[in-house]
Amino acid sequence: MSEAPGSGRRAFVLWRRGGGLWGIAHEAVKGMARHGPVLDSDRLAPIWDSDRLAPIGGEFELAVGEAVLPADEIVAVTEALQVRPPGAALRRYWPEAACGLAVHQGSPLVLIDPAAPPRALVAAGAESGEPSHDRT
Amino acid sequence: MSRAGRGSEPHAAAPGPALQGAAPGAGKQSASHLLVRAGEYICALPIADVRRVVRALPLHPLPGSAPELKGLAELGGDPLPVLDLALLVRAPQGTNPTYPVTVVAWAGPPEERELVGLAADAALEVAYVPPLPAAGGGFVAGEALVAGRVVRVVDLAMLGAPAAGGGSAGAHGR
Repeated sequence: MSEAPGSGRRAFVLWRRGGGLWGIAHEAVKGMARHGPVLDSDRLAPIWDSDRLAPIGGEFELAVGEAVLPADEIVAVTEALQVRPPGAALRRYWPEAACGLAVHQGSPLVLIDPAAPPRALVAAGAESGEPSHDRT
Repeated sequence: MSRAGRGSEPHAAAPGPALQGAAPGAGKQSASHLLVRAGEYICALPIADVRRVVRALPLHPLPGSAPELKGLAELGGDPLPVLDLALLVRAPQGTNPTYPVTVVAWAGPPEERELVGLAADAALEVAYVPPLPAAGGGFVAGEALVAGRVVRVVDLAMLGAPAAGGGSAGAHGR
C-alpha cells in the first residue's frame, strides 16, 4: 500500500469462507488469530502495509466487533476495490447487511457490515469479541 | 428471427392475470421480447431491458440467501447478483439444460434500476409479444401466446420491489 491507513483510501481485508470471498474494512478488524496468540492491529501493521498478503492457508479467525469470523484463507489486504452499493435485488433475496459488492481478481465478493456480520460467517457460539487463543 | 403469434385463443384456462394472443399480422411487428426457457416455462423478457446473454456464469453462492438468489458472478470486472428465473416465475423444474445461459438485464424500477443476471435454461429467440393490459404488479405481468406457445411475460421493473409481506418475488402461482 502506498498510503497509511486512515490517510484517505480505504483498505479492506479479504478472506475466503465457505467457498465465497468476503471483505471488510480493515479498521473494523480488532484482531486476527491463526491457531495461536491473537495478533492485534498494531502488530499487524506490516501486513496492512503490504499490498497483497499471499494466501497463507490454514484456519484463521477475525475478531470483528463482538463477533469472531472464521476464515479458511486470508486472501488479501487491498485498497484496490471498486465498491458498488448492494442493489435492491440483493437486499431482497439476501437477508444480511452488506456494505457493498466488489470484484477481486475475478472473484465477486461481499463487503460485510462490521456491525452485523452475516450469521453464516460467525463462529458458532463465539461472539466474545476476540478470537480464541492458543489453539493447537 | 422474429416469430409472431397466431392470434388464437388459449385452449386452456391458464392461470395468470392476462393471456393475450398476438394479433393477426403481428409477424410484421418488430421483436419486443427475448424468449428464454426457465424450467417448464417459456418466459418473455423485454428486449429493451436485456443487455446481453452469456453462457451460464460461474456462481459464488451466498449462505443464507433465498433460493431465488443463485449467487454472485463476475462480469466485465463488476459483481453481478444472479437470480434463478425459474424460481422467480414459479416454474416447474424442467429437464437438465444443455446450454444454460445467464441473461444480463436491467431490473428494478426506473429510478433505481440495476443490472442483474437471470439464470435460464436456454435462450430461444426474440419475438413480438403483444402489449399486456396492466396487471396486478407481480413479477409475471401476464401471459401471451407466441407461435402457439404460452409465454410468461416478465416485468423486470418488479424485481427489486419489496415483496408484499416481506417474502419472495411476487410471481403468481403455477
